Amino acid sequence: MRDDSQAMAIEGVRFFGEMSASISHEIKNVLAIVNENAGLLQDMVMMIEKGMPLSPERLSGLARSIVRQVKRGDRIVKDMNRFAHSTDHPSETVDIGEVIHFISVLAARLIAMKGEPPEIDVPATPITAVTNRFFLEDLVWTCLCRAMDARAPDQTVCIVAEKAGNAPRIRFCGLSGDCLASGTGFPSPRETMVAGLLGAQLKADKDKGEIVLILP
Amino acid sequence: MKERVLLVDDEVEFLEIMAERMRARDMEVTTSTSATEALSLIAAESYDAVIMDFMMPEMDGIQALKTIKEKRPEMQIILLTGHATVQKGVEAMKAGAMDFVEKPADLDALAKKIKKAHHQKAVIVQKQSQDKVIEALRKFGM
Repeated sequence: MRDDSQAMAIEGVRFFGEMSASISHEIKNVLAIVNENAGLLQDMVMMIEKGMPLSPERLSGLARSIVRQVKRGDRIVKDMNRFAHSTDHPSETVDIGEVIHFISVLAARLIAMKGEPPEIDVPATPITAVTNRFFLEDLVWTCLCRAMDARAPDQTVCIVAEKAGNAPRIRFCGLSGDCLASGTGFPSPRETMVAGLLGAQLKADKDKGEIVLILP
Repeated sequence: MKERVLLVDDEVEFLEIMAERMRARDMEVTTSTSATEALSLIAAESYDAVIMDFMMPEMDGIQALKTIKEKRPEMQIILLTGHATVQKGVEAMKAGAMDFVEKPADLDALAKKIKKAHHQKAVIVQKQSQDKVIEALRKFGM
């Protein structure tokens, strides 16, 4: 394996691991709620055995809660499966807006830990690029993390998908210029490597307070 | 005496059901959906055990744990998480957590840990009172 291929493989596994850890946390949360519902049902059985009355409405509420969590778990596993299939093709036609939405959903908990969720502005007509879906997801996530960390005070990060001439472009706006100034390590060697793999340009505009990702 | 518990998790359904089951076991339970809100509650009230998720919006569990331990060293913190790795567990214990429990948790096992937390907190509070008395006596040259 050439050095850059090895670095790419390591980066791919790192990103896959980060997302998988977040997804497994969400699944555990679903299981924890189902577990508590089961525990509460057992508590109720003990109450009935002691002669205490039980409301059918209360039981119905527990059943509804379990159904809700099963549906939630199903959504999470579907997203996980979709993410796993991101690696299927080395190159394919990708809807940029769909990738932005998908990463925002997949990493919702990690995003929430960084603050207010970003606003997403994508046009009604899909903007597409022929690229590697998995590494585009990786780069969108990396840029979003950068953007959340560099968010300007009292501003919401906004992700805009648009066309710049013929090239698909993603802008991460609402950032503090100071956080994007030279010397802040942007783009990192890892970000440069992934952008290079996609043939993309990755720039920070500190005057406009935005990170710009231009795809070929 | 009832154990006083602060339960912190951003999963509202989990909080509500867990709190109901704990109250049925004669515990006094306060709930909070964010670490920031929990820190305000802790500043105003005393709890035997704070049970909180590791990954929450605004502030992660380790950061919240360190802040609580700085302000209220007597409070016992049990981290409850879906992300149970040995590394995280060690990190939590080093930061002062009393225990580290994986979700989904067994409430009866957790209740035993809460009783232990209640006892440990009482020992620390008693020690803090004794230290204050010794310090006061020292000031008077005794």
